[in-house]
Amino acid sequence: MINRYFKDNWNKILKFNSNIEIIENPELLNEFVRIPLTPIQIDAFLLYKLTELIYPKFINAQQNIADIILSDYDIDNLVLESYLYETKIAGIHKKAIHLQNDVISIKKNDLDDIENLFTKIQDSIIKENGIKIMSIRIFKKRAIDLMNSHCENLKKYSFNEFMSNLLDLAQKCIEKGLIILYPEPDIMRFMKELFSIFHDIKISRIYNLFNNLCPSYKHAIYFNANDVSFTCQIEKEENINKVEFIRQVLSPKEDLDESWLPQIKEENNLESIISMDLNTVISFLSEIFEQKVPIETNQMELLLQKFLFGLRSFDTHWKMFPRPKIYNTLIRYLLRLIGFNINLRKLSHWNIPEYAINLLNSNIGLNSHISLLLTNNRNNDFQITLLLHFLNGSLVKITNANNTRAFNKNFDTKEIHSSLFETMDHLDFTVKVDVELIKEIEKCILNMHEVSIFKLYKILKMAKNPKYLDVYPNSPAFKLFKSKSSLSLLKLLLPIIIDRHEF
Amino acid sequence: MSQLEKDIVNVAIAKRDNPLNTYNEILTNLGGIGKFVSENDKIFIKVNINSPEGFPVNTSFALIKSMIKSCKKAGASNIFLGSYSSKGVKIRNIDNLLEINESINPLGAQLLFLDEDSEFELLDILQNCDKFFVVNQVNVDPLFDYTLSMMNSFDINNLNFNDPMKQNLENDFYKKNFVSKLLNLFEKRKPDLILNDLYYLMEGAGPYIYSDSKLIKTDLMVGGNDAVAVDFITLKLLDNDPLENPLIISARERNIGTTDLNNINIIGVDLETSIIHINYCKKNLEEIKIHNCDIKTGSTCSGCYHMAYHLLNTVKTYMTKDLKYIAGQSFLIGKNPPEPEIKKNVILFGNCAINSTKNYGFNTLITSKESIPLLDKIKSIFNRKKPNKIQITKKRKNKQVLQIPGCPPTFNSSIKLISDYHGKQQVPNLLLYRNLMETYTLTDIKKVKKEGV
Repeated sequence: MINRYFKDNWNKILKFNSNIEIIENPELLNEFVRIPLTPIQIDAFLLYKLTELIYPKFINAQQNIADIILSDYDIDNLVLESYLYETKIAGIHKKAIHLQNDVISIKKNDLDDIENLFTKIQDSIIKENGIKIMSIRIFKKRAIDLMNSHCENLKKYSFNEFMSNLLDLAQKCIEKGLIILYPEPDIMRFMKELFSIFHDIKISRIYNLFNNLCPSYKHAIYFNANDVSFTCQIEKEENINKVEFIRQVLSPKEDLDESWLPQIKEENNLESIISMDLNTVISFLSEIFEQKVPIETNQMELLLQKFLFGLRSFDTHWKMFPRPKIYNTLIRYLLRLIGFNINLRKLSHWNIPEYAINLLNSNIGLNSHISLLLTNNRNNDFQITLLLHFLNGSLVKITNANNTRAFNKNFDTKEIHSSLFETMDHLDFTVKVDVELIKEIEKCILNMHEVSIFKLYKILKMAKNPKYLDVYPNSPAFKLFKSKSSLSLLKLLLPIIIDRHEF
Repeated sequence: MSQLEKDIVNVAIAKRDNPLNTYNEILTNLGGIGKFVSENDKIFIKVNINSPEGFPVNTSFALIKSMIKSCKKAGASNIFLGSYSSKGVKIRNIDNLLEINESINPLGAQLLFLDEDSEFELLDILQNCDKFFVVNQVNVDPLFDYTLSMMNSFDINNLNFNDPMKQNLENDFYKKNFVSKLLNLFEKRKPDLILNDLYYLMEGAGPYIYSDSKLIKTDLMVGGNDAVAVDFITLKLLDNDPLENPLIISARERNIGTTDLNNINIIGVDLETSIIHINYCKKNLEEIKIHNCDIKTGSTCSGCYHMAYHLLNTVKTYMTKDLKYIAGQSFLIGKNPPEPEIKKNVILFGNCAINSTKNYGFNTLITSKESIPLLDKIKSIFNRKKPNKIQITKKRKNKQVLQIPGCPPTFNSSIKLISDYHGKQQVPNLLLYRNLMETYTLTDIKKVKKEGV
């Protein structure tokens, strides 16, 4: 029932996990496995450590778990297969115990009360195997089929094809309830709510769009956690993406030493390398997953504040090599002399989110429908046309804007807006963004070490050109943005973005 | 038809899954649009276009669009839309930004710039149109609790107080004049169809969008042909006693409209089971909690209260960083407000506050220090005695006081004065807000002659 390619790799992981306690120095084993459902090869010990760290935070912190595969047809007992994993450490699966078909019996109606069903399964397993499970994973046969076909193609997929397929698989399984986890982890609920915002849009389409716009790059993020450190190397060359996880054999003390970064950069021929603490990243992500989607504005403010605080904590919470030019004291001093205070260490993390959200709310309103058009001026083409619905400052719905008449090679924002306004019940603004502008922004983010005020100035100047960014009708904020020169705009915005004092 | 039947007015309440279905149900309950629009009618629709902010500060354009379409379908020849703005923004400037005319012209409607006309010109428009409709967005309001349909017909900024003698607390002309002018207008031309849109309603702070504002979904709309009755039922729906509302009280006194529930025939959703509870605006200005700000109020006229409410909420919403930089300021509002706790950055809002605090302690700064007069110092050298120190007290005028004159002061001038007083280094957030404000307040207004009604 389960794809061989997946099963072999899974058994290899189980074998490694069960051996880890009996081997003296498991970290010295040079064994590689694939991350399940991906073609990415990873050091088995690193995967063990990452699972130990991540699984309890994101999925479930309790021991012992049962996997149940259910039939898609309404039969007396829906259970096709069931497995029991005794996990002394949450998430570390060692041995799969195949349960007899009569141990668990599930009828279609049982799925309506999952809490009761869980208790029933828990009691049955205690009775049969003497093990108390603390969570269950229910896979409908359709989910297994989808996973199998995904795994079958893994060998021939390029990285991008694999990513698109994985995103489609996740979206389909979660949206259609093909996978049920009980107790439901926050990440699962978060994804479910997130996918419901994306209505009829495939997430993979958005991933592909932004990925295709990215320039070639080769960067790495060096993560250090309690007793493991590794580098995640991301690369894109001529539209081929690559992700690699390399376990660094360094002592934790050395991990924090900045002198390692140039060495790793040189060895792997990287453009830049960032070092950060994995626990901080995990705790930030788990805070995001705890949120109810659509995220309320006050919660969004808090998350943005934390993100910006992280961004401003350069040299304390994260390091980068080569050091970003924007942090160069001499450059900053010279810019200060001509009136631009651009010290990112004093980024106003506490002010920006609240102020920006208040301005956004007053400009677009508390219930607004905005059509977002992503154009490609070079090909005279629309890359993507979306309708965004904001309510109380939160994005609550994204749908496809399928209006062939309005988008018929017509790039005039006003005309498009008028055509859409005629046919739609509610439309407040039409925003047109060209891919060239997005490319510039992506380039700026990916080459952060090279970002300077001149690059920001260039992006601002580009954004002021209606060919690259246009909004119809004008909101006061957009009118101000257009009417001010890029330099005076920077002078107006920098005192808001950067603090004068440390608070 | 008996006299009793004549006195009964119909008010429709609808509750549906989306605003347009709710609007259609209101029309159906009232007998269809054909009952209100005849062939070749010239229709004037009064809407809320208050400032170039989004919904719900302005009436929902989806609703306006639907109403224009249904009027056209029923045979209307000309449809005109009109509104007064607020915060000193001209409708023409709002139109320049939001391109309202560009959107509604293809539908066969035109936006008029009522704020460029006199009150008489409005009357002229109203009396010359065949039908007068009001589409009103209901939000919380500091002065009248809610923005009711009756308020929609007049511009609160048009109240001019040229006679300083009239500006006193006892008479409180601001609110009274507003109510009286509104009802005068109503007596001359009553609207034929009134729609109170509370499908989405702003609570907490309003009717503009502030940090404390929140949009709630009630799924409800109220409509009818008697504005007083429609507002009466709307207030009832919002769990507010209509007979405590100054507009309803005045209408009742002047016998305008129906203010007796027994004479109102409710069609559609049941009133009692549909009542909703809303978070009102903060009634007491001192309750508006602003970081590093001390708010002191004395006896405040409704005009100053109204403007101060908006100013304080703007400060709270758009001065987050500035308030940290300023590190302390006091707003004194109304007649005889209490003395501020700190003497720096004292903002006197309105003529009452300026005039009644002339003798307050914060106006003068007293500095004292111990010093030895020069003669005593010289003497002490010869006497070899320790000279006596004397206490020298100096009084000087406190320069950290900002006066915002007017009764009430205008919103735009208040923002300018505060931003100039603190200087751009101190208030970067307010500076950006001021720049944004200037995008729609500084445009040259060329009065264009209207056509049509």
